[in-house]
Amino acid sequence: MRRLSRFNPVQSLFLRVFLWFWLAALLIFFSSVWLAKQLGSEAKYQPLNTQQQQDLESITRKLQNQIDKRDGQVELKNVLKQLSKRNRFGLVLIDQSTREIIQSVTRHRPIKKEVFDDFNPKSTPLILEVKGINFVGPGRVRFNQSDYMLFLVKPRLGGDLRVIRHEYPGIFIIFMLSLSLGLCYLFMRGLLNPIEQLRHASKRMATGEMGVRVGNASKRSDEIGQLGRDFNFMSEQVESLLNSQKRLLADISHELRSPLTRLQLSIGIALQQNESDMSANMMAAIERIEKEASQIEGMIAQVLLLSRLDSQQPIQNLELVSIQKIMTPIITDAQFEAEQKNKTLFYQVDEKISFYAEPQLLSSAIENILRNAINYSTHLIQISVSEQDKHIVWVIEDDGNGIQENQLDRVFEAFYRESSSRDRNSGGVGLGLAIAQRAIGKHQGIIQASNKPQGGLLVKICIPITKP
Amino acid sequence: MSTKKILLIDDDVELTELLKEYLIPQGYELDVAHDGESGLSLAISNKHYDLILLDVMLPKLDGFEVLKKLRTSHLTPVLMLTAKGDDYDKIFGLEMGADDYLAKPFNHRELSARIKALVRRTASLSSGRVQQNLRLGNVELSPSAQQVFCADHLLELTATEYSILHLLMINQGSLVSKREISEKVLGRKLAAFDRSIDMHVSNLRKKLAAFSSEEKIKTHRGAGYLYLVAV
Repeated sequence: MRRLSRFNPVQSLFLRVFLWFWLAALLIFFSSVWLAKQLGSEAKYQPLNTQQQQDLESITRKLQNQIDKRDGQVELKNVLKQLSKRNRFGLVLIDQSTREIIQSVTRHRPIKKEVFDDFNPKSTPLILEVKGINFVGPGRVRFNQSDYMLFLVKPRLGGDLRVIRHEYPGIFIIFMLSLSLGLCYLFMRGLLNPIEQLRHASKRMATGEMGVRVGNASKRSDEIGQLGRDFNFMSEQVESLLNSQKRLLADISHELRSPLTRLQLSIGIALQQNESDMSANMMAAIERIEKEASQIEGMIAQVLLLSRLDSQQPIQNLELVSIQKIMTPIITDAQFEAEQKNKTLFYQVDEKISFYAEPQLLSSAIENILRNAINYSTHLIQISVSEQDKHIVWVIEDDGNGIQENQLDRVFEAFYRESSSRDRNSGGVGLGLAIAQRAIGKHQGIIQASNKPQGGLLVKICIPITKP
Repeated sequence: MSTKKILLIDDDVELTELLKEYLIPQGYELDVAHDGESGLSLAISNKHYDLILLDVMLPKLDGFEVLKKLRTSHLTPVLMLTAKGDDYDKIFGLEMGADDYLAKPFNHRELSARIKALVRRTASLSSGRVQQNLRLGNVELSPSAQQVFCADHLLELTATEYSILHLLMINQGSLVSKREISEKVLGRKLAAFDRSIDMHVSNLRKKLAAFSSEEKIKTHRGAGYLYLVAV
């Protein structure tokens, strides 16, 4: 369908420019033909050169000989045909008095008699050019007491096209059309190919592929080449900006590790004091500090994991794992967590599946999604794992409120949190789903969130079963 | 029981001060070095250390280099302090012969537990209780000297490797789960997908294989390890 849309002038620059170009070319062509017709008369005369003079004389003589030899008892047309064949000229004979035309070859379009009006058998031989055909003559021939004018007919030198044009106008038009079509096509391809490249590059960049650059299109020296170079410059800038933003995040987290380690130790030292020396309030405060510190620690770990996942490195420890090995600990923990919250978790799995994965990464992805489902459900959480068409598919459903449709795409963004969920109890900083998405992405898989018609969120994880 | 000596090699001066303040009340004696070179020279000096706390990022000589040089002559237990978020570091550290690792930022309780586990183990092993030498096939393990001979060659094992081998040899012919190894040798619960036990066993196998071609330690995938009964 896309290929066809290229030929719809409303949608395609290609066809629009092509049509205009072609129209212009045809217009120029026809107008110049028209102008030529207006300016010059239809028939043109030229003097003969020696060769033509000789040709004319010799053929006139031959014809007269033929006629004389048979004493006039001949069919003129046959004689003409024979002579024409032998000498490779078309021949035209015109009766001086009746102006009747006898031709050696039958032409598609009869020669107009008026063309020869200016001639009589005694006129000086000339080249008469009519519509691309040269008539050389007249030579004087006598037959049955009448005077005839003989003209040699030959296409004008290099004028084959004109002959075709006059003889077969249909073929000529088709030829011209296809020639200009081909040229226009080449022209447009040269123009549109780099634009296509640019379009593809922008599209890929929009989907987050920041490393994309246009190749050939940027090597041209024209305006399109400039556009290509500007595009490359822009994508480099955007890439480095994004990278520095990500690096900043990772760097901050790295730097936070040292003070946080010291904070943890200070808490330890504070707790080593004899507990009886401490008031209950102070003890509670220190415990609170410890809890907060471990929360910061968790966040930093998540940010660092995310930035590691965002880097282009492929995953390192692919190993053959069974679905059971991955799922059993996750489900055990999740069951426990769900029970604590008086919720029910249903679990369904085809236990025979084995595949290559980075178990830790994959587990953390599934765990994050499942945790989320447990947090947001009202009573019921369902998780199923199955093998479908060489993919392993996890479906995790809850019966909570779901997510607003227009926010569905954003839930996997880092630091995304639905405004209503900005309470600390929901836990995390909005990195869990982002990490899950990156982790699944590293397994060449996809993760999708959708609202169920009956309410609640459904998250589907799909990873291909491939060998490393 | 004498106080246990710990060598702390970390360039974060404030952290080393805090560690001193934290660990001395727990009955340890601490020496501190702030760069790799001075740390290494202390570690290989005549002073005996029960444990080395070794940071990875160090000026002059990084933690891995220190570990590599140290292991050519000493088998002092080493607890590596890696940076959280760098998986590569901890695996690399274990391959180089570290006994355990702890990611910064760490919880103070965790640190204290790990130190205790590493020091206690070496203490109990060298506490002088007369223990019988174990001999299985061409492998001989001497608990009093903490030495292992394979085909009469002395093996250079780290404390962790020695302890794992000891545990497996005591339980010769029966499966020892990874959980048990983690709790008894590393003094901590086995975390999901923790590969450190596998790393230690793999190092141990390599060292045994240098002098003996027969397979001694069998892996039960996902479950644990088994010291094969000598034929």
